[in-house]
Amino acid sequence: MSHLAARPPTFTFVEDDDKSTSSELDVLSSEGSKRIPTHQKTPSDIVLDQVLELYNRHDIENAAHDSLSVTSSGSDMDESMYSFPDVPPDMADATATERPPELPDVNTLPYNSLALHTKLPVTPVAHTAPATTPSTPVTPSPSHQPSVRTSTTSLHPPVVASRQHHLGLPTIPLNISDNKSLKDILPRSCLAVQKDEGPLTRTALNTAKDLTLPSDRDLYGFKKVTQFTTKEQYNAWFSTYRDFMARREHKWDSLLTESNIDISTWPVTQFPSRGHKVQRYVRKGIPPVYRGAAWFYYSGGHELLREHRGIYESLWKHACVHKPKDADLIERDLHRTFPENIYFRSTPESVAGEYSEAPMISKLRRVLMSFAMYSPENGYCQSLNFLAGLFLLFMSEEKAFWMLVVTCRKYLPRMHDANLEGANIDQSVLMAAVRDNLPAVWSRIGLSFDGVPMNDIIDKLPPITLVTAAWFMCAFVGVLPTETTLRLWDCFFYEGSKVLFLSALSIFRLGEAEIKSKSEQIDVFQVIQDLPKSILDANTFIALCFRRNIRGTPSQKEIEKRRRKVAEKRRSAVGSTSSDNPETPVRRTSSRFRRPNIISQIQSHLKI
Amino acid sequence: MTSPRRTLLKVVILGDSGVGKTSLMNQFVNHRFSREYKATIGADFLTKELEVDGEAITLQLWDTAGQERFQSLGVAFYRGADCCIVVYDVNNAKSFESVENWRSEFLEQTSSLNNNAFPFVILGNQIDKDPSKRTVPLNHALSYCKNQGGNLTHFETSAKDGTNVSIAFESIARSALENSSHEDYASDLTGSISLLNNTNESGSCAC
Repeated sequence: MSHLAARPPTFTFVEDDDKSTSSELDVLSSEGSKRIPTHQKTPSDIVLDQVLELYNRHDIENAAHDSLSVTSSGSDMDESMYSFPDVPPDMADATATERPPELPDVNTLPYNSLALHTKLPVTPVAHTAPATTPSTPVTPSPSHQPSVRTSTTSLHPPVVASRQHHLGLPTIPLNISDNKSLKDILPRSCLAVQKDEGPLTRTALNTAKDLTLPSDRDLYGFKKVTQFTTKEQYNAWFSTYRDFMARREHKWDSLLTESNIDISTWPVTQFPSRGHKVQRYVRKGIPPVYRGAAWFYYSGGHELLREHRGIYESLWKHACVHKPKDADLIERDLHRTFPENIYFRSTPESVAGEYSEAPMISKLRRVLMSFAMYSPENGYCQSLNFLAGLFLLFMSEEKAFWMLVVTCRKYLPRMHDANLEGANIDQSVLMAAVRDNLPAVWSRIGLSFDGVPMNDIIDKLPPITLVTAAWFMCAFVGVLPTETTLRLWDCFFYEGSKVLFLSALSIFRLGEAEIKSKSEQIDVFQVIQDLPKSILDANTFIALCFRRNIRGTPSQKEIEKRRRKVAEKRRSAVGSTSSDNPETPVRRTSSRFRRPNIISQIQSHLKI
Repeated sequence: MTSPRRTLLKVVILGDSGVGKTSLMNQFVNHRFSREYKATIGADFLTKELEVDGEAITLQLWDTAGQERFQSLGVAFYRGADCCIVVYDVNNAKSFESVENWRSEFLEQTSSLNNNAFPFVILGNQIDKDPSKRTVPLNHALSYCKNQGGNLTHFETSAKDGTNVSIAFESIARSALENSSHEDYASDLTGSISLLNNTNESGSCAC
């Protein structure tokens, strides 16, 4: 009965939005705007107090005004790139009438084939061949129409306009380990908070759509080729998926228009209220043009931002003067986040000998340093860089900052804390779900390094959680291929953290047969470590995650209940020593966001 | 132990963030270097089959995240390790100061009865960089290893150009193999220092 792989799959991928129904609860629907009375000050509150105090004392005012002028004129990229009219009509026309011809019929496929799990011999990736990267990117034409490109590989706009890219040379991180403050170390060009909505504008995406197939890079500027996917495999999938994306975009245009939402301005700030129809739409993928805005909207970002206007910039200014304690770690990770993404490439040293970097690197620094300031009790945790980096491709840095806050507080509570408590809790919950629902997999992974079956999974975790903890901490960035990750994030920010559990369980399901065939523990680990990296077929994977009538599919409420249980057990195992932290590990949400007094004071002060 | 099957040896790689743990591992296993490595979260592992003194072995290499808090994951991670590699960056004095922390953390967690016998291989990486940037002289590292009085071997390496990588890992494999075969007779081990005269090419003396 439990042998799920032997049971024929009972789900289908339905693209018709009017047919499928869902019984999922919208647990998160009201959470973003839920109000919890403020209680005693958290360390984050205290830092904000300190920021306020500093401002009141005009301590850093001069310094800030000196070197930190906040610009509203955007980055090096052409400001006018960000205001564009409608989707090109040809795109809409082409997609309006077509029916999906080649949707995956998962009922006829064995689980293994769903993953496109064609193991390649470990072919050396051409890491050292800068020739595979795009040549000098082409600037969008002044007319702001998607220009006809002569080079097939130059679909992405320039990262640093008018600067030469030395793609083959290493980036040189700044040395910030000494006692100087950030504002004294960083070049002026890296200091000002930028207001632009990120590189993946409507125009950039519309342009890239037509050029992605021949290019070496995907829509988002990542390399197509990985250790697990060849360009041919990518293109074979993308040539179909591209049409699917166009249809979905058209559907979303209609959905938004029906909801009286103006789609002529970009980015869209309103989305339809939650409901089964919207959930179905989200599960089939938010179109890239609406993606960042939809994540921000459904996670409650707008409420946060409205109540905290100016806080992000204050935190950054504060960070510039009082360097956060993990500053050097952050600095090192800036260039180790998306080194393969065109937008995160820096010029190592300009001809003049001055360090210059991609605007995205500067943004990532500002977001992460500000976050470390916002949450000084926990500081910076590696893996936040991947979350922030992906946000930054789809939205402004201020929004990316608040997305990071909401992700760490609401979706992944305590996961990135100094003691990784939330990560331990979630791994216990995940392992229990595997044990209860996939016993054959559990018999292979529920073992200590010595091969002894593990009964207690509250305090001690099986070795495989070294791998699966990273899945959760990064919310699958770098674990699943980019498009699959983005599709998962669509559901994640709409439906909650249960999506990560569903994803993890689906990966185990996909690998079940192969896992069972391995006798050595290390070979089992290898399967689990490598398998998700080849799941290119996002549609089929998402369909598998949300397959109905499947054992072990927890609701968001159920996940939160299990988290609480594990947290309590962990606390009682430790004894009363943790009494200094009385908060429950889960659902520490809005109370931290609400600091009306401090915020309004800082805001009024900033207006001077 | 006498099984004709391949011997499986577990090796754990520790060290501060950014010193080059992932790069070293990939240089050894895949003979390539990339500037596009990402920060390691949790742990990654690779396996490598090789032959040491006529014995076929499989090295199971656990590459760890450098940030300290990843030690908080509730996995008895070091358990069953046959050798521990601690990496530092010769251009980063702080990462060298951390070597002893990593080592004592490891020993504490494994609560090994023979702390002095357990093999550590200390790797000073990134020697390909401009010599003027170096902040950890070879002599410092060598005298540290000597003064610790344990089973410490030291190499200076470059994951980028491959200098000393294969010789270091050969030594690692040998140490692991030796440790694994001694596990059954744990009592006969004393604190012998096997400070190899490595074929360091940086011209410094090897004490």
